[in-house]
Order: sequence, then structure tokens, then C-alpha cells
Amino acid sequence: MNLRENKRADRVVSRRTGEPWRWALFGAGGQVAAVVMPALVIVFGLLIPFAGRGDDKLAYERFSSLLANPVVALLVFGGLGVVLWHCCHRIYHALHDLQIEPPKWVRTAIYAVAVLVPLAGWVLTALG
Amino acid sequence: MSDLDQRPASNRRPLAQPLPRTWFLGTTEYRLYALREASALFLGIFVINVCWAVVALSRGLETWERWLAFQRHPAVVVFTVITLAMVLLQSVTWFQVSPKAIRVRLGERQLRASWIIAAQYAAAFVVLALLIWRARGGRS
Amino acid sequence: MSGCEGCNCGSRPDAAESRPLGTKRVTVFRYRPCSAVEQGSTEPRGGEPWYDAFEVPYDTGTSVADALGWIKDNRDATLAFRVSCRMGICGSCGLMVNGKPHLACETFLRDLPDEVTIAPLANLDVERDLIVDKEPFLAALTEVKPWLMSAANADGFDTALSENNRQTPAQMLDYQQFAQCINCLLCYAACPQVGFNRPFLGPAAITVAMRYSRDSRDHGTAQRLPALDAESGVWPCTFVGACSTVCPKGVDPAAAVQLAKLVAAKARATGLIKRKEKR
Repeated sequence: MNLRENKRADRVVSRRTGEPWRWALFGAGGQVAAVVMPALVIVFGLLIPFAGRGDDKLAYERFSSLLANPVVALLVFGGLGVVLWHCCHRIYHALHDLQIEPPKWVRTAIYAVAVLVPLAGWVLTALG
Repeated sequence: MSDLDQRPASNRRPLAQPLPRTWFLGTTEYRLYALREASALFLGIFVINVCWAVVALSRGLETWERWLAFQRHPAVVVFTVITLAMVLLQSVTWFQVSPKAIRVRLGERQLRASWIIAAQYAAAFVVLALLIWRARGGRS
Repeated sequence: MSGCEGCNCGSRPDAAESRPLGTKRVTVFRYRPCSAVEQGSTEPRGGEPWYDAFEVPYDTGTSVADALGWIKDNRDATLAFRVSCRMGICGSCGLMVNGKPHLACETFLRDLPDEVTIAPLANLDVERDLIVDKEPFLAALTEVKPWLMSAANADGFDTALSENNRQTPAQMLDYQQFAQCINCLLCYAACPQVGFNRPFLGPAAITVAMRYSRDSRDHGTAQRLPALDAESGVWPCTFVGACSTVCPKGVDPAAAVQLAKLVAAKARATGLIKRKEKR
């Protein structure tokens, strides 16, 4: 036995974690984000706000009629939810990269944003 | 007896090489990685913004107009433009590395990475076209 | 050296043309484990590391490995470094050249700036001068059980050549790239997640795991999963991608790690379904 073997003993941490499903959701969200988000930023962030008055109304009518369907609303918030999950997962791991080891509740809080915001949005839309 | 006493004498004194805190500024590759990870912050805030937009859409034209007015605020416009750059970075890097995880074998050959990447760019453009078409009054 | 035409004795083919091009200033990282403590003491720290600079003559064929050999032969015989095959296949001579991981044998002084800094591979513990401790990696390698396991005898070698072990070229394609790894650990030096010194199998060990798990003759994925699907397994990876950039063999460890994550996540999902079915 030497110094190295002691260190090796520290290395064997074969604890199972919840990371597989967190990572799977992250991957799904990343794929949705990569395909959909550029279009969303261009259309909702820039085109519609700067399209002029008449087009505002047109966009409102078109999109609100689409969202009146509860299945569409569920899909939209589901999609936004996985994208937000993707973001929260990256932000949590960025803390590790900055060599910050946050307590457990910080992780819970970060991932909770990805669940609660779309959920609240969906409830508000369904009520509205 | 402590661990030290039980250890046989050794001349090995391994020197650790800890990473500096600012390691992510070290190389171009690390800096690009850091930017990619940072894009998540902008992307996340924008998604919350879109959630608000969807709720506004369900609450009537007046709420929607209020959301639009907020989008036209100069600070928000600056944020949106930065977000657009960040989102493009995220998309381009995602498409670039996705063939690593997506492996499609066609007989004795792998499906070319460039095809997988091209398909995703095509999908992104289709989504953009659909959204613009819908915003301009297209029917579904 | 003359008289070597047409043979494989190891003399460089351009030896006749190689001419001195001048000298370069090569600065080398130095570390003595025992310089500050008595031999045999259990004090865990050695002396402080330092740098030595040498003016090294070079020609068109002088590699970094040759330069280190020249220093050892002509300037400082105490310089410690690892070199073996000198042809990029043994994986011994990995080190940092101007801050980037390289194989010393295939990095040439002629391609480098006039000031060259040589340091041991980053993120790994230094034993002496340019020599790093490979034992944690070898332990990680053992942990992923890097051998073909047969269905019948899942924890031993399957040496029997049977019909089942025949493989088509298409099946070989699934793992061939990952089989090119030479364990040089350049990917460990490039990976910040290794550098954080958390327990992490690291790029090469995971790649080797995938080399076997993607082999049609292997049935050992279930035995490798406890190592892969653990806090210290594949999950510390955040896909920086630097491992693949520095790999001298084009192995693409980053791809192997992503595939390993997929394997681990799928196994978890199917495990969940199976458990539900049992109820």
C-alpha cells in the first residue's frame, strides 16, 4: 500500500444519482431550443413588436386563436418547460465550473424554476 | 495509530496541479464553452418572457399590447439582440456536436454527420417560416 | 547516419537533408519530490517546483522528445521524463507544450515559437519533473472492465473463438474509432472536469468502456454500468469537447462519453419499466 492507493480509495464514489433523467430532459430541451428558439427570438422578440400596429392585432388574433385549444397550450408550455429545464441544468453545472459547490436547496431552487414557471403559465392560460 | 504511521515509508510526494478559478478564460475553446454555458442564462430569461407572452395572449388584446410595449423598451431590445446572438451560438454549437450522440448506421456506413447537421438547420428554418407565416395571418 | 536506405532501422528518412536550423529556448518544469524533506519521511509535500531554461539546437527533425533527450544527455542528466516508442503509439510522452497537451514525439521544435515551455500534463499529479501519476487513470480503466465479456461467463475473458464471435465490417464500425485510444492522457490534461479533482472516470476510461460495450461480441454492458452510471462515472462531463480536440489519434472521446450517457440513461429507463412489470 502506498500514498496513491489511499487517494484511490477516495475516488470510488459509485453512488447512483438522479443525473440520468435530469440529463435526458436537458438533452431534449437542448434539441427543442436549438431548433425552435432562434425563430421564437426573431419572431416574438423582434418581428412582432416592431411590425407596426395593424400587424400587432393580426398576430394577436392568429396566436390567441391557436392557444385557445388547451392541447396546443399544453404542448407550448411543455416545450417551453423543457427548454427552461435545459437552461437551468446548464446554469447549475456552470456553478460547478466556477468551482462553487452550492448546498442542495440551491439545486432544488434552480430546477424548480423550470417546473413552476411553465406550470404557472399553463394554469393562468387555462383560467384566462 | 494514525494512517500516517501505518503507511510504509515512500519517497513519492505527488504534486497536485489545481485548476485556477479563471480556467475558462485559458484557451479559445474554453472561452467559447463558457459563452455557450452563459447563453443559458439569456435563453432562460427569454423563455420566461415568452411564457408571459402566451399568458398575455390568453388575457385579451390589452394585455398583449402591454407585453408588446415592454418588448419595445430600449433595454429589453438590447437584451433581445444579445439573446438572439446567444441563441444562435447555442443552436450552431448544438447542431455541430449532435452527430456525436446521434449515430445512424446505414448498412456498412454511418450516416454522414453533415446530413444530420443539415437536417437540423432545415428544421430550424421550417419553424422560422411557419412562425412568420402564422404571425402574418396564415391559417392553419 | 548512412547506409539506412530502404530499411526500418529507425533512422529518419530525411536524416541526410536535416540541417541545423539554430537553437530554441526550452523552459522545462522541474519538481523534486524529496528536495525539501528527508528520504523516507511521511511528510506529504515535496519541494517547490521550479523552471529551468536551456538553449537547445534543433534541425528539421528535432521533436520535443529529442530536445528533452538532448538536455538529458548534454545539460542535465537529472531531468526526468517518459518517452518510449517515438512514433506516437505507446502513449508515454504526453506533456504540455506551451500550455497545450501534446505528444512530445510528434511535436517538432521547427513548428514552435522560439520560446518553448514544457510542463507535465495538466490536471494530473506530478511525481517528478515531467512525470505524472497515471495510477488513478489505471484504476478508472480497471473499474470499467475493459475486456470482452461473453454472455455465459460475464466476469471473465471470453477467449473461445466461436461462431458467435464473428463480426461483420459494419459491426466493427460501431467501436473501431474508440479502439484507437493509446491511453496517453492528453484528454485528461484538456478536461477541466478532471482538473476539478472530483472523482471522475475521465474521457479515456469512458471511451474504453464504450469500445467494449459497442462491440457486438461483448455482453458486459450491465457489468460496466455501476461504474458509468455513478456520480463519479459519466455525469461530471459537461461536454466541453476539448478531449476530442487534443486527441492525437482522432478517437473523439467526447462522442464516446455522450454515447455512454445515452447508454446509462436508457438502462435507467428500461430498469424502471422492468421494475414496474414485476409488481
